[in-house]
Amino acid sequence: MKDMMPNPFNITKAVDFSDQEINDYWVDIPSGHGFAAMTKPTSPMPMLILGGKGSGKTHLMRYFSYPLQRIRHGQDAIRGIQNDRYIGIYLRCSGLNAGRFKNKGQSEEMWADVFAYYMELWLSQLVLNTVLSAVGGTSDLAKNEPAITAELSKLIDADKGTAPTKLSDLNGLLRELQQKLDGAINNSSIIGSLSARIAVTRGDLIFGIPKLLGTKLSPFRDCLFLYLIDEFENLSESQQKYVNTLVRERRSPCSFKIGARMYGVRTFSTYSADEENKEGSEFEVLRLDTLLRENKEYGRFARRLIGKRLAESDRIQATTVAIDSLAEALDKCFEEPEKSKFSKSETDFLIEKYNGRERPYFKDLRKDLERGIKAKSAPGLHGPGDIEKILKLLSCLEFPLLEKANILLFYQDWRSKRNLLEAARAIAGERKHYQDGTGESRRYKEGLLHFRADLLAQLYRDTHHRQRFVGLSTFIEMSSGLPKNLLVLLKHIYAWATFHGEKPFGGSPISIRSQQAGVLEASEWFHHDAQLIGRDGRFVMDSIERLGTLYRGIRFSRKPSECSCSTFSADLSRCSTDAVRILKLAENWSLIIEVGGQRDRNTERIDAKFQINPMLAPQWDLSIYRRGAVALTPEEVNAVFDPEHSTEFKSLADKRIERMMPPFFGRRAPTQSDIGRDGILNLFTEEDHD
Amino acid sequence: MGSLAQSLMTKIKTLNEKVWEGRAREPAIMAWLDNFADSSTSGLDERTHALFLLSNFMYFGDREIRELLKALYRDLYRYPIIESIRRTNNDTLDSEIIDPLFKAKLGATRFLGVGNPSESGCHLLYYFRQENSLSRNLFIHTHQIFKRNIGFGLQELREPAITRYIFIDDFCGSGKQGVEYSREIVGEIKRLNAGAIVEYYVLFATTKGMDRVRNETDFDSAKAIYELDSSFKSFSSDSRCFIPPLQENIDRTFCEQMCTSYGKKLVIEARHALGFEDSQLLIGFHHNTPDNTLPIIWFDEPSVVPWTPIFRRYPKSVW
Repeated sequence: MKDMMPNPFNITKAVDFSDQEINDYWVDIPSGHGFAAMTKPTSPMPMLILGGKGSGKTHLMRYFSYPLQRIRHGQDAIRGIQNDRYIGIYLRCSGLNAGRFKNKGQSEEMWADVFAYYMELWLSQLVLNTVLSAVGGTSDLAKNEPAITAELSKLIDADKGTAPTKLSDLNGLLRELQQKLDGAINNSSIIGSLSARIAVTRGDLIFGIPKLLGTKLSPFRDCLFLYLIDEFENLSESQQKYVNTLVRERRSPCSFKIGARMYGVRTFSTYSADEENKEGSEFEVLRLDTLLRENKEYGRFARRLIGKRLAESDRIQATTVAIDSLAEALDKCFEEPEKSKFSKSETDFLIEKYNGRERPYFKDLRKDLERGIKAKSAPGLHGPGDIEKILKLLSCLEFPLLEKANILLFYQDWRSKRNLLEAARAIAGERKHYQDGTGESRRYKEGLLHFRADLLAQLYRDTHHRQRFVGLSTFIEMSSGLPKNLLVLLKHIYAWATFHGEKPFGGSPISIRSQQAGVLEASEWFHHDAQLIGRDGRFVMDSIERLGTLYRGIRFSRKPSECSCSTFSADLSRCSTDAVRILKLAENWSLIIEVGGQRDRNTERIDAKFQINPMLAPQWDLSIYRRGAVALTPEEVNAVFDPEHSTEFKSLADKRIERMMPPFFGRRAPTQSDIGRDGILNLFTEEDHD
Repeated sequence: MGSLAQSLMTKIKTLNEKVWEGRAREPAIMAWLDNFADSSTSGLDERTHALFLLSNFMYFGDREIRELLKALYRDLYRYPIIESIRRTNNDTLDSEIIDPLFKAKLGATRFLGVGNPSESGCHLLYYFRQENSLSRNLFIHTHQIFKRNIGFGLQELREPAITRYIFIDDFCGSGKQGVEYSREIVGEIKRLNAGAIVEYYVLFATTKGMDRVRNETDFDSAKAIYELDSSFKSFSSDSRCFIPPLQENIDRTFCEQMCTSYGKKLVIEARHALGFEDSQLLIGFHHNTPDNTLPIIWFDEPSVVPWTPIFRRYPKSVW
């Protein structure tokens, strides 16, 4: 076997980690007091931890669970828990096999009661196991155990045989009751009935055990029993209602952290007279990916995360300081285009490729001008000689980027009805000033500042080159607050680099082509992984396809209306119900990200603003950055998101993009009456809508 | 690199990462592709066709071979014996009856490798024993089957109580080796003990090779774990490499001509240009690549013809 160093980014799901690995791979966010301050494990206020797939919910929740506390505190776990002032009891809802608790000829009410009882038994065992692991063998427990056990036994209305005197016996009894219940549930469809006797009142053990232990055992005095319920989305509505009821009826010293995907909360209702839990009143919410995305320290956190992975894969017991210094050096591990004046080093390939041939964008411009002259829509131009003059004026052989900037400004002027020869002369002057650093060239400077990335993207596309999604900062930006996305990107980049015979993170920087190949594969994975099941899933994916197509059309149009177009704003109140529903589904699945609001240019109204997930950007060669936002009309939003209106998409998208294309820029073709006595057209009379 | 070549390279990268144990990284592939012309008069591209063939290469790594050796013992040996024990004991499921009887049958069995002790058949016995937790005593060399009676100078079985001999090999292409073994050894065992069962087990075999072993030898049975029918022959009419619709710019005839043309330069006899006796396979193992695979994949004798292999074959030097 050739030297097969395992890819340090192979594992991207926290459920695949052992407790030790959760601890080893833990990285805190370097702001405030880190994740503990955000998660508030000692706060009695229950918390809903919401986040997209891969936002780190499981890693975070397991980190606060008792097995991790024990690893962190080593020999003196009891003192550690006392200092922590909480003990975490972690439960993953997928382990419940929650789908068993329905149908089989039983009523919904019956299942609700059985599920509540089952959870009571399960959580109680988790608490007792945790407690026994923490204080088992201590004199404190030995002294108080018979009394605690006797007290707790009273809460269980079942034949106990010989009365239990130890917590482990009590736990055995609970396990026995659970096994009986398992048998009854599993066989109910065969037998046709569900024979179960509920031996514990809801909440008596879940809240009763911690209360008694807090009173009787000194290590748990002033200690919060924190139930960490993960993968809440795996519970049905009635099952969630039960958990919501526990949250509402919470008793000290207990609290809850409930982890769920963003779409995962089906109800806030409870069995407490059907009252709904309210954010801020019964619980608070931690929106993990939004919080990470908007955190200024996310970049440092992401670099630490990578540094930690590399250190662990090399089996280095690195200190935080060492991880930080490793993290700081990471950017150099990725090859990036050499910084050069007017991106010369990035565009030199074009000079060589088109040596002695007309460059592709000039070919396009020539065609546009010929069409313009033919349609009498090229102000100031009369024949081929004028076209040659323009091409010459806009040419800048040494710097293709400046040529693209010239052409962009020229199209802007064309759309603004300027005499094109004069416009080209002016642009040539501005370019010279800008290039030489002399005179006034503000418009030129701003144009390049805003559109530089789009112009380079157009250059690559014009010359059939792959778009360049390279550099660590790019990958961090692409991950948009979802650490898993970052790890997936690096996993694929690492794999490609290895395949290309490189030694990633161990010698020369990872080549641009390995980065490009890895990013593309990671993006395809994200696109594929996000495929939703069912009819709505198809609608969502189709909508994203349409949105990506629209953005691509804008970005690669002759005169893009917005720079780095990957965001739209819209007045959702005027869109169809289905469009809003599908849009929200896309948001819940992290395919689009809400990025605040934008004031509408005409009405001053604040519209919602959404960015396509940057992980999807390579699918349509879009920008991962967010600058300009396209203000979509309600009709356009409906055409993108509402399946009923999807047939209108093509014509609406074409219409919008035509506004960015010469010679008419979205206006009607001129008729004879539009042409003045001097032979110059006068067609620019319609309203602009960009 | 064109888009087809790029997509083939992506597939190969995945194969290399997940299946090929990292043995064919891009630099090695590029060196291998340098064997081929970068253009051709027909307008079709040799290198793209080479990549296409490589993307169809079947590789069985260490882990897979070990699993197959478990399957070989379990499915070809153990289960049939247990089935027969149960049948003769009123279909019993009682392990207390089955286990001792099976143990006795196993004790009266000897496993042998096919070929020279340095060859792959024998090499695999080590893993076969490990994976199936078998006693070392159950394994012998072919020379340990017989002994010469000193008084009369006649050959006799060294262990007369042995009732079953299992010959194990990794690959059966043409069946030639099975036939030779049968002629030299199996007949003799049968002559000395007419009741002895002699079987031939192989991990991979072509249908043609197995038919030959079944029809032309004295083995009581010949069994393979993975039988390769004509669809595994790269350029057969039902080849699984060239299932329509093919990608644009991939042409079966061109590909076959290319492999034949290079193959003739690499191997001495033209009839082996597409692999031993025209096997045309695309298969390789952790421990070696059989010569039934296309020689463009494995040929590695620079002193004969300069050629860089991608999955080299360790030749059986006979000096």
